[in-house]
Amino acid sequence: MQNAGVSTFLAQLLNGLQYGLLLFLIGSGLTLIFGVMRVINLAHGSLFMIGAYLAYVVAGWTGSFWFALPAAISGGILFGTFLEAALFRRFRDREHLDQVLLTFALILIFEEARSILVDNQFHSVAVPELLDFSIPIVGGFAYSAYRLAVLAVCLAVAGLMVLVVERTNIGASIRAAAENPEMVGLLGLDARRIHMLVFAAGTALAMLAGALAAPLQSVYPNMGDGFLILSFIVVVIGGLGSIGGAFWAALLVGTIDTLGKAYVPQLAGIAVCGLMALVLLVRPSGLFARG
Amino acid sequence: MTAILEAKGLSASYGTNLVLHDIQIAIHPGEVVGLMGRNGMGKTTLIRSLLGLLPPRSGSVLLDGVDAASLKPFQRARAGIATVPEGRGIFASLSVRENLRFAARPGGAWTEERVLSVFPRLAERILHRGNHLSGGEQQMLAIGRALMTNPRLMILDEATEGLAPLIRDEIWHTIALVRDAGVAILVVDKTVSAVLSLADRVVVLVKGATVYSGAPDGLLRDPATMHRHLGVDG
Repeated sequence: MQNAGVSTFLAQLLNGLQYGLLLFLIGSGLTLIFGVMRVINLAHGSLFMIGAYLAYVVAGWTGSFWFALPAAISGGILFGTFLEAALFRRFRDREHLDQVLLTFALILIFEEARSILVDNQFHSVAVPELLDFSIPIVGGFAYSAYRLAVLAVCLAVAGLMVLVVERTNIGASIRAAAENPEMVGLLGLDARRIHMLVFAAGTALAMLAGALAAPLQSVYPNMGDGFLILSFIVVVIGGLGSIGGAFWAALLVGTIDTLGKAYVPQLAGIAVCGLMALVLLVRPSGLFARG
Repeated sequence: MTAILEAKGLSASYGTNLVLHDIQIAIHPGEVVGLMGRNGMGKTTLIRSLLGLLPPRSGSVLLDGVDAASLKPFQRARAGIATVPEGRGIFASLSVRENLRFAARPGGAWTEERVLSVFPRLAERILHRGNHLSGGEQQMLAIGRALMTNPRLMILDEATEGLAPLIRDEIWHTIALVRDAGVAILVVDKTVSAVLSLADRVVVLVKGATVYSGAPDGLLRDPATMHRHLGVDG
């Protein structure tokens, strides 16, 4: 009985970490896009949805889930580049209300397009056969190999992002553009290219998260909404523009949300909101904001 | 000789407020031009117009003799115009090394090693973030970063403002060194004596218009202008 309780806790804890890491993939793009471009992208959750549907469609066409991951990444880069050049570039210097209206319109457009191109039904994407088994962790507790693989992929992406943003010239350009885009231009760098890069990367990350999540849950209309709200909470708790902050905040939010739903479901809905309110009271710029 | 950067009949405004009137200024290769005037007379606005940050209302800005209207600030920078802006514009979250490397345009004489040899204090603080530097160190970094772009023309806006006298002297010494290396300079500064001793020509702005343009000697022989427009008593 006690073993069953421990196993359940371990499973929920790992589920929470894995959920948190998916939130990181979405939230890191959101925080980078806001940090560098000062654009609030409400449609970021829809990009997650598009990634999941892309995985559903590609897995269906090819008969293999593995094609879905490169499709989500490359599709995200192309789609993000297009969105930045066609729309977001023109709204960068506009008021936040205009940006909210634009991105809200995009949510409606994306959902309508999804309805026309696919349908309005719930769908499932099979866990790839290669990872469709459980791995013994401790005692009698075993955990899904696919979920562990998702954990590993998200951790690798997080590490790569921190490496790129904190240790490379491109990362320095991104941080500089977030601080003072005018000065970046005066030093001979085209800030628009940096914006395009960041938006494309953010879109690709959200779509990759959607594709990775597809076998974990149903693929359904508006499935990005819940992720978007929690991702915004991640961004606020972590500090706007902070990749490291988004990482730790995502783990915190994912774990609290998952454990809350498992053990105190009546409070789960408000637990992360309460945490965000507390952070806003104590440290309004976020726990990991650059000072 | 064609000027690197030139304003011809340049007027500029913020909204309906006209702040520059019919300005003529040219900076030729290897030349030092001092831009002078009291606060609020349009010096920084002129610099912003030259850099492409503020579009002219009339007149034009020429880069190497060609109208630069279609060139964005980053394109003017790539053409060899480096800026040390008022307030320094240091990236606070980037280290000294990142600030320098970020701006680097290889192929010229100014390398990281050379910049650090000019500013040994920056070498000592190479891993420190921009916001952890003193005002003087930040100014050195701003100049060093501009040099890393291997410019033909360096524009310095109030480069010694708010600095201790010793640091100011060091900055002026460095500016002279940059001039000696063949880089043209447009310098805005309130230290009139330093500007006059360094510049080949000076331009004095009053309420957005030119009241003097010529050799420093001419200005020195005009104590009335010096007193009225620069607050200096001869």
